[in-house]
Amino acid sequence: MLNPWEVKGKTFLEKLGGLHWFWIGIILCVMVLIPTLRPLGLPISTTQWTVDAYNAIKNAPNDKVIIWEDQWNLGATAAAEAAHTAVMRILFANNKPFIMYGEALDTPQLQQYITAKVLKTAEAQGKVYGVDWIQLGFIAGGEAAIVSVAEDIRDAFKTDYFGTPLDQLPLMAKIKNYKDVGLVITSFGSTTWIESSVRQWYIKYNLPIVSYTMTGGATVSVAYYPNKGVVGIIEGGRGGAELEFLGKVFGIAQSQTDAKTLSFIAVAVMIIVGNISYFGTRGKKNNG
Amino acid sequence: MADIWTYLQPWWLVIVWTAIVSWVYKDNRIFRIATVAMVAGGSANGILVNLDSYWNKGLLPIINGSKLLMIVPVIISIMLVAVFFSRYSWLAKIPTLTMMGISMGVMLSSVIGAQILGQIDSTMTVISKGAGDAFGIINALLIVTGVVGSVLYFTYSKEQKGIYGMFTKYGRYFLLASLGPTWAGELSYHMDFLIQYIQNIVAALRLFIPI
Repeated sequence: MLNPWEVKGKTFLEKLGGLHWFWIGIILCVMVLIPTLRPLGLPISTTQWTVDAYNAIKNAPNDKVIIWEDQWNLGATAAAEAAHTAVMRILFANNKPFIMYGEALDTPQLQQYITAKVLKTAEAQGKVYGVDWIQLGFIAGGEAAIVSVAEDIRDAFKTDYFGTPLDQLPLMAKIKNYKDVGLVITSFGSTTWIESSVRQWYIKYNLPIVSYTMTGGATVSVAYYPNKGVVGIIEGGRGGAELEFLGKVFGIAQSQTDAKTLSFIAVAVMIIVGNISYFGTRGKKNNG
Repeated sequence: MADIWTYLQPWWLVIVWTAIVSWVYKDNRIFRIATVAMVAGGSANGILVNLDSYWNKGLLPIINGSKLLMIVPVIISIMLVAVFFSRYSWLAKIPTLTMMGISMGVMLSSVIGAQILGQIDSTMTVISKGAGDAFGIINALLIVTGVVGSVLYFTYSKEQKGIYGMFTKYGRYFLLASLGPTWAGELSYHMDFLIQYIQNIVAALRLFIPI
């Protein structure tokens, strides 16, 4: 059972490092709660790879379609929702038609959940399903599914997510295979999925990719950025906040960044305190 | 007037989320009910989505005659059921191996260009391409020596001591440094959960209390 009052160690430095994790959790909760109740409006800096991702979306060829493959699931919603919403709003704001599908079992429902929210925004007004965007649903097969979609999208999907035959959707007239694709947005919860996308979309079909990774995945994506397939990176919630700022589509990510900034400062202080305790007591432990 | 779902949804989210978080205090019945419900819901969704996919992409094209060749993968997939019958369980290896073969084939067809040649190329040409000034040269040298040191760290045929050992240790520091942003990213990823949890609680409370 949880016992927050338990403090390990005898000396001050040992006790400092032996503080129960419960109190660290409480500090983090307070740091998140303060800006949630009263937003602080702390500044947001943009990274070059997010700017590049934004520009790649904004400058995608108008005569081609954007393919958006999602490979994150329910567990990643908290990290993915902000950027997913921002990307969708930016696509609508710039009149870029896109087709999205899911490679995880529950992704189509999550796409649907986010689409319902996005459709209430100003950018989505006047947009028509089937003309401006299409949701295709789930496809099994992982990396092999990419090849299937790239070679012949009608072979990979017979209907959209709602059961409508693809030929009844006007946007489908613009696309047959990879030759009609202008940009690929690949979003994923696993760190290494980008390797599959680069292997197929870039190496086989020479298509530029915007890597929309949950935070932590950017370290792998950056190996292919900026000229080995990945033309821009959107890194989880932070990337979402940057996109909201760049595209002027303010939403939930902005409200989360204050909380993140405050809690990360707290985490940095705790790491310093932990190291002081560790190095301060290491000599004594070795001698003892 | 807002419908009941407007009020129910945030609170339902908070209740279920809190039931899971209650494990922090100790393992309890509410936590187990919530996790079992989550697994059951996920499994049910998985079964339905897969059946739907199997029907639409596998069976329907055979039934309506649009793609009769689909009979081949369908037959191969049915062999998976043989795993339940010990006498014929060997049949289940055929679809497994088929999927492995397809996945490996798709991957291998472009892995050399993407993950081997491409990465070597960008590492080795970084000096000529990126070294515009003194800072660029230092950057390029760091990348090249860091990659070589990290690769040598994973060679086991020679004992890592002396000057060679120092160089592999140098490579190990690069590996550790690359773990830094990865772990920081993990922290950021998981903080998103805490932030959204607290935001949900505040949103649910705001339905009744002006905070």
